[in-house]
Amino acid sequence: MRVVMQVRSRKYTLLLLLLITLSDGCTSAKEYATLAGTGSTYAGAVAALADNASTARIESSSYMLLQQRDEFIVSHHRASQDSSLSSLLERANDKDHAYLELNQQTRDVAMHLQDYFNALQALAASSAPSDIGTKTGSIITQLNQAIKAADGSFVLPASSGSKVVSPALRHLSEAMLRHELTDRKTTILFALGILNKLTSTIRSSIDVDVSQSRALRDELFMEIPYTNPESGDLKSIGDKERWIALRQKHLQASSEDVNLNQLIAAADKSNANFRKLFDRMTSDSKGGVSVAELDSLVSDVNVLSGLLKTFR
Amino acid sequence: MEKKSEELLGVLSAFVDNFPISHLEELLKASSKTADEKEAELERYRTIEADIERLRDAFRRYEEQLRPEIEKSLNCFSVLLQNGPERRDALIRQYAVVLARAAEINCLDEEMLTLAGDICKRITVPKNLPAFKGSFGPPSESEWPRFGLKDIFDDKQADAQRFWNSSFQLVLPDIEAATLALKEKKERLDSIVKAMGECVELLTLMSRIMGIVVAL
Repeated sequence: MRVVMQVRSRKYTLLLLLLITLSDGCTSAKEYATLAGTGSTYAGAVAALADNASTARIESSSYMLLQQRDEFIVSHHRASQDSSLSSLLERANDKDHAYLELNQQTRDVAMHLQDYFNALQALAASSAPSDIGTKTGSIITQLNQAIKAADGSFVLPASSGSKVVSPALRHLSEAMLRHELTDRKTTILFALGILNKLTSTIRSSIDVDVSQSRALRDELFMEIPYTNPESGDLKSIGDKERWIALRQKHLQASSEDVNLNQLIAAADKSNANFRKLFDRMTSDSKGGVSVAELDSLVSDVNVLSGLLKTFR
Repeated sequence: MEKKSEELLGVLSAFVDNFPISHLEELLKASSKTADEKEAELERYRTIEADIERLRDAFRRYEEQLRPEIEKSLNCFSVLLQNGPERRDALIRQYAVVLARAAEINCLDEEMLTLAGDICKRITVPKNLPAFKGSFGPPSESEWPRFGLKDIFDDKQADAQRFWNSSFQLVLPDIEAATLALKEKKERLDSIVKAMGECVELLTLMSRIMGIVVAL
């Protein structure tokens, strides 16, 4: 009889948990998994943005070196050209190398945050809570049957154990996730703030580098060969075809601007929306976050991620 | 002015206030790092904390004294860039002022850096500027260092990026500890499920023997 009482008491506890689950209205494990997955994608996008910045800088400084070389050859005697051009190249290489290292560090920052969100997502998306529910439900059913066989007066509950246990355990799992995020809220918001500052700095650098590359490319390979008959260019058919391709690129430069502006807007929007939803999902208020809002965030981050893939 | 500096450094100051060194000490106590590594982490925290404090003071002084002059020189230059050959000399003179002022921009002053970046984009090819379309043409490299402003802009941006990268070190131990804890929790949940599966099989057998179930 003592065992029967213990089993009943455990059931009441589980029922109580179920009631808390139903009445609380807090964020579900699935929503936490979505937020964590989006955080991971966003951090990955920032890492990719750092890679893009490195590519944009090398391209921009390469055009700058070519332009400086052209001017140098015109204005200096041959004897002074070799050593001066060598040191020019060396200086540019050192500077670019330092910038690549800096972007690698930013990449590491983003990857650390991505690791965290990946671990959070794995926990939130874990099938463990529902599996525990199913399996403990099965245990309780078997126990009930065994107890009923021993004590004919014991009335089997109408619902199976899994219907009670599964939501209750899911609730515990959600409480665990919520506790993790609430406990870590200051750190994560701070880390996201830093990621925002890094994104802002990097995209600003990309913007100037891309613009410089375009202006110098047009000057060096499109304008000078055409306007200066002594430049020796545009002699062969191949030269002319390449020139036409460059001119097309020059006149269609506005599409590059559109891509860059879209990238900048997407980065800003993703960070702002992510921080806003994260803040709300970890706040004490009962407002919660709707599925539509989460879907919209996922869509924002996917746009950013997609733009980065096609940007360079 | 005061408000702006607080806004820019607010995220850092707020974090340091909410993440005291005692919290880091607790995290380190629970970690598997060596004593030297733990001391290095604490030292890094103290350095960043001191840097933030110094930066806050420096930024306040910067906003009160330097920033207005920097902004004025950049804006004046932006206007001159639209003028024709009649303002050629004025533009060249102002570029020299801009280079000197841009070197004074605080690397965390996003607004001034954005302004400088916009100017960089406009002056990449000097001969295309209206002021240099006249008979005198574009100025020489000594009068107008073509990539001078871009160099300053790049250096400032790199300083800012370096600063934010190193600021992340403040939260790195917490993020690493959290990641590890989450992985452990997941493992624990998975092992519970596995154990439950084994339990069910065992209980199926045991439930057939009433005496044993009652004893449970």
